[in-house]
Amino acid sequence: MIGTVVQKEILENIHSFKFLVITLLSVILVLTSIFVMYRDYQLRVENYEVLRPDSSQPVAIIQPTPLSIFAKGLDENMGRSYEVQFGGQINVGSKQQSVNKIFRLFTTPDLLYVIKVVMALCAMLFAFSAVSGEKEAGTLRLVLSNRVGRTVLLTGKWIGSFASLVVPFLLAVLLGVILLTVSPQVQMNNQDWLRLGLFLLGTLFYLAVFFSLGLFISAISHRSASSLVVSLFLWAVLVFVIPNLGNILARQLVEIPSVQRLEVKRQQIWIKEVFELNNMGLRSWEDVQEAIKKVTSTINSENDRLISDYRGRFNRLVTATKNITRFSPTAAFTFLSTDLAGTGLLEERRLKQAVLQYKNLVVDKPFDIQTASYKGELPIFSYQRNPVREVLNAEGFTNLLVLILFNIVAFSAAYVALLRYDVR
Amino acid sequence: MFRSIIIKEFFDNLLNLRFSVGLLVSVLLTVACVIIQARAHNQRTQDYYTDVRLQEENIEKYGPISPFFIERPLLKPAALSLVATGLTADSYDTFDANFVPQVFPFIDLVFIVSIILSLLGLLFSYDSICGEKENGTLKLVCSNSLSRATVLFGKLLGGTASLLIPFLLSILCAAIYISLDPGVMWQPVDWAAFGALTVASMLFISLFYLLGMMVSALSKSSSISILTAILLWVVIVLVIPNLGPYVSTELYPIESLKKVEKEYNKYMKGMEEGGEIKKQMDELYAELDRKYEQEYGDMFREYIAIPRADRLKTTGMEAPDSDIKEMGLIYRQEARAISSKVMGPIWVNMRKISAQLKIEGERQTEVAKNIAAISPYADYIYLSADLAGTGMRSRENIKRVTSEYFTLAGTFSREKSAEKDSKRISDWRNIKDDPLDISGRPRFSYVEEPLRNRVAASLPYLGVLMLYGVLFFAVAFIGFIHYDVR
Repeated sequence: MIGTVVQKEILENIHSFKFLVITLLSVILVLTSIFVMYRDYQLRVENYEVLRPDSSQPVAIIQPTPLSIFAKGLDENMGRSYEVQFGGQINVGSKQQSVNKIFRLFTTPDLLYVIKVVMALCAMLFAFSAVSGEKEAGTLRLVLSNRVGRTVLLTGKWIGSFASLVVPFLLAVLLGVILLTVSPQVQMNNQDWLRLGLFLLGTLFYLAVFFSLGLFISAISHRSASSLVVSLFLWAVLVFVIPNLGNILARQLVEIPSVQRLEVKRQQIWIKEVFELNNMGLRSWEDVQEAIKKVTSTINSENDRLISDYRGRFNRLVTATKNITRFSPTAAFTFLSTDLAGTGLLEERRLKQAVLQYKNLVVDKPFDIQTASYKGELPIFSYQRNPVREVLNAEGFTNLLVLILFNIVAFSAAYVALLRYDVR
Repeated sequence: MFRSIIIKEFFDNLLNLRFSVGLLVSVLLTVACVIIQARAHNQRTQDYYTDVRLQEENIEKYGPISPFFIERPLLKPAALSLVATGLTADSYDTFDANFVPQVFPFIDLVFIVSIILSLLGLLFSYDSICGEKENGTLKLVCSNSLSRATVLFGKLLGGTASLLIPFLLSILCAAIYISLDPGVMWQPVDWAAFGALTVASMLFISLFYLLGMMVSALSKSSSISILTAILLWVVIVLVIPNLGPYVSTELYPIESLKKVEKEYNKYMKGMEEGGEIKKQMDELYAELDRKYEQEYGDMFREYIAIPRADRLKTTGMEAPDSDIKEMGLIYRQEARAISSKVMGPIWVNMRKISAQLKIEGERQTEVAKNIAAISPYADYIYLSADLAGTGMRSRENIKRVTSEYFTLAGTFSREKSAEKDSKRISDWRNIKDDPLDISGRPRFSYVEEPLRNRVAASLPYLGVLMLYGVLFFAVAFIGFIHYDVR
């Protein structure tokens, strides 16, 4: 019996205008997004090749990951060149600064964005009329007058409708990925494939949440027009409002100095120490060298103190933001997928730690005050992104669990609502 | 008759579920958003004053002993940034930048209008024509002695009026909160800007009502109409603006970064042992040395024998006067002339390429801006940011004021040090006992452009929005004239 329900649902969907529109939209968007982000990735790889340092430069820079095509996250910022300067100050290279300022006003249209915003909307549009629409059409009571339990009906509907939403989408993604692998610049190793696979698995869980929510709303309203209104608002709240508002809220809960304050303080340390040099009554060149060494190390340790305090607060801020925003499946999904792609906040934290360690290696090297640069052979910065296992252990499983929990809640709500539904 | 159509449409919407849900969501969201944003804004403002104080103390203490100590330009948060964040969020160009807002951008009043209320606009109007057809009321209306233009226009007025109620109520709540919050000190000009923003937002929301009506007049059933409307909304709000910048990089790729880097590498290679430039310079230096050796003989040989690091002791500024010092000074001058002769053209060339990079970048930004401006959503975003003084226009102004300030401050410090003694530039050691008077130093201050200019700057975008309005209405009108009301 369940087979019949699934089949009916799929067939009905395929013949509907809705299916046509949504499938076309999702296929076009997925392919456009993959193409556009591939070109963006290509550009970043080219820039990386140009800027790659040799052993005479105290520069830390990492290669863009091909997975940033799907979930760009913070990859652009993480791929900036970090140069260690006098006194262990780390400067961000200005060369990769995007000359195109308009990027800041809008969002990156990567696959993650397409999924978390557009596909989530599509999932709700697929589901909003599944129960209330059939009631209006009068077919719901006909179906239930047969020997079909409501459990079977809901499961069948869920499977049939969800499949007709997801299958075309997955096919489009598959097509895009196949086209990508043709390019010699995109080289994905086994780890990367695993990451992509897990990302798509997460996508299914994520879309399922919105689909079940849509079904739930459909099963508590008696007119499809009302379920549509409620669905759209719920979508907006979950996708935009909770994550974006939670972010500002978290900032008010955790006391953290602004980046500007940090810079002002850093400048203060620098000025103070350098001018202390005046009081030392230096006469010979050796004295000056010795003094510079001392000043460098003081500046470095003062900066370290400042940074470790800031980093501690910053990590608390990130944790608070994550905890608050996880009330929305969109946030949990965003964290999961960017962490998996190695472009998320987790990776950013890890990278910054690595750069700070690198700075500690460089800062003891002799510094030439005349050319304002470090002398001689310098260590080369090397960095591996967090392996999948660690991503999952750190927060991946938590986020996945949150998504599963949302699924269970939404589906049970839909189930209960349908059991109590007046089909007449 | 026209009036009864307006009234009917107005009350029809008012009694609908979407009105109550929309009203609730809009007011609640706006209030929550304004409260949170106002607190964040107050925090930022306080931070600004603390930063200024810290810096002042620093300058008081160390400024007089260093003419090179120039203050860091600090910006006071724009008053309207709490309703239109725009580009004012933290810079990402530092090592310690806070990237959380990049993952989830801040939400403000502009966001509520551009996403939530535009969606509400569509929801209000997607069935205004085809829905009435389905109910059978449309043929009744049209059986009266009414032109279709009157019906359409009446629907537009009545519907927009009902749609604007949730928005205006939300704005009212926001305004009340802002005026009561003691931390937010808006001047009359800020309120005027807020008013202008409100008017522009009303236009923007009505535009989406028109869009829904247009789709409604073109579709047979409301289920098709809502899907088409949402599809258009997705394209206008979510797709075109976000793709714009990427399309522009595709159309106008920037080659200069590679060129700059290539030129720089060429220079670095040339400077290495055995490199072109190094060779050329060494030859010129050798020639200079020969010339001096002929002229000064032993004295020059004695000078050249001193290790570089110790030369300043005999020929530096502070060394006692002697023939060798005199010679050393001229020699160094000529050596410097050689280096600038060789390096000059190279630097000029590199500067030229960098300048080109800037121009190309600006052109790309302009193209991206114009591509995105196809979407009324982007036009509204530009317009609101420019009105609030948080957009690209004010960024440009800030950049200009900052560079003017740096020029002024640089001149000031040069003049101050010249007043004292030319040697203090190269030698800090005596500065401490002979501090400078820096009381007249130039201070960085940025004042927001007058509102009139901001409004003038946003007029083109407003024009595009109106143009879209006319277009949508025209299409809706044509569709409705051809509409089969049975």
